[in-house]
Amino acid sequence: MFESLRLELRRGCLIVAVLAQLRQEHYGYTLRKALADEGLAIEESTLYPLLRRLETQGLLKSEWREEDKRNKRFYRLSREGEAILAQLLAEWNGINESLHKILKDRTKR
Amino acid sequence: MDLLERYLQAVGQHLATGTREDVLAELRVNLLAEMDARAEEMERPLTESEEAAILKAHGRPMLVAARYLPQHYLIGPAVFPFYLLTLRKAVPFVVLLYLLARVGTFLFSPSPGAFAASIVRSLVQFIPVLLIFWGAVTLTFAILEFVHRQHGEGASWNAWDPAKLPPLVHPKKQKSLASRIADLVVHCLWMLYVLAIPHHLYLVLGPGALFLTRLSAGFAPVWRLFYIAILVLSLAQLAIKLMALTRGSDRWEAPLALLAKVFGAVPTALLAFTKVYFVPTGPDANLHALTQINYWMNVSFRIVLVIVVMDLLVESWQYLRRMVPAERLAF
Repeated sequence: MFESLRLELRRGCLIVAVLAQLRQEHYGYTLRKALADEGLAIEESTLYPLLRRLETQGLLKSEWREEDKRNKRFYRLSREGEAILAQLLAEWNGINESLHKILKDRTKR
Repeated sequence: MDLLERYLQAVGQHLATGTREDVLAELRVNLLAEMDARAEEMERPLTESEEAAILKAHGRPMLVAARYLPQHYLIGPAVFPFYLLTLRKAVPFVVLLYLLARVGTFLFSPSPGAFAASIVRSLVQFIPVLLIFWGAVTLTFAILEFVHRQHGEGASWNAWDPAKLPPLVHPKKQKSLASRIADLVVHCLWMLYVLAIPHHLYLVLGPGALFLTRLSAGFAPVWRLFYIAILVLSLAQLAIKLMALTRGSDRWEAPLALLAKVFGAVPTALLAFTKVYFVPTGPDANLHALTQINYWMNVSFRIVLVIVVMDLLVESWQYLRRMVPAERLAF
């Protein structure tokens, strides 16, 4: 029960986190590592397809480039992605504030 | 690295041809980076079992590939509630139409044995009918979903008028004590009438008794059985009506009434399965008229039985809907 609710709660947040992290260029592995270092571990099998989906939706752009003698696909936030991220962050902040307010009211009672 | 290539090959088998190479190249780089990082941590090359552990953590090839494929669905979340509602509302009508269609066969079935077989046959044949109906509804909604997706967010699904909501249903009030006593008195009178019938036949037939005498015909033995069944049923109903006078009996009212209806169907079934209702009592009996009367009475009782059974089904369904939570009845 908790696990399914936790996954539901995380699903939307992960997209915001990925978009926010991709304000800097990353390829799949380093992005996963960067998110994990910030405390948000994501399974590879979830993250890599998500990157492709976000790219298809026009929120990310990617390019193949050689680095350390290996061809890697680097992702970065697109212009449209930046606008959507700003909207999503505003929404997330609104939800966060409301939630804090609700929890604060409850603690007072 | 052989293991990695085998893994990628297995993933590739389930990917779309157009994006396969691209996805596999990206996956290879990411997995290699992961393996390199782990090797760097351990300050030595990875063993095959360590590589296998990384691949295992990444996921089963078929499931990994499935996540790269576009998500397909026949009926989406916007249309699905309407699909479910249509199925729930329409199924009782399908059952009713099917029953009506079968009535003809039932009415003119040659014998009770054949009738019983035709009931079983009808039940078996109902399965494909139900499947065809389900298929047709699903197909219709799949087309609607397609149209809905093609033309964007259609507002029509959300168009409704609060003024058209059904009126408020008030819970059924329990009968007053006076009404329950009156009910009991009427039932006692009915029982007196039933008890008087064997000694005063005209109470049932009225002037028709004269017609029977003229035909030189009398009652067949089935009526004796029918009379006993009616008596037992009336006694059971009397017990229910007496129970209804006691406090707290209202929660038993609905199931007992339903049970009484089930038993009430028994005498009707008894008559419907019988072929002979009147028998000749003398040599001058009009046999042709008697045959005609017996035939049409049989047809009438079969029609009555169908109505009684359908009424019973409707009542049972309504009772179940009241008693069982809606989500458990949803299909």
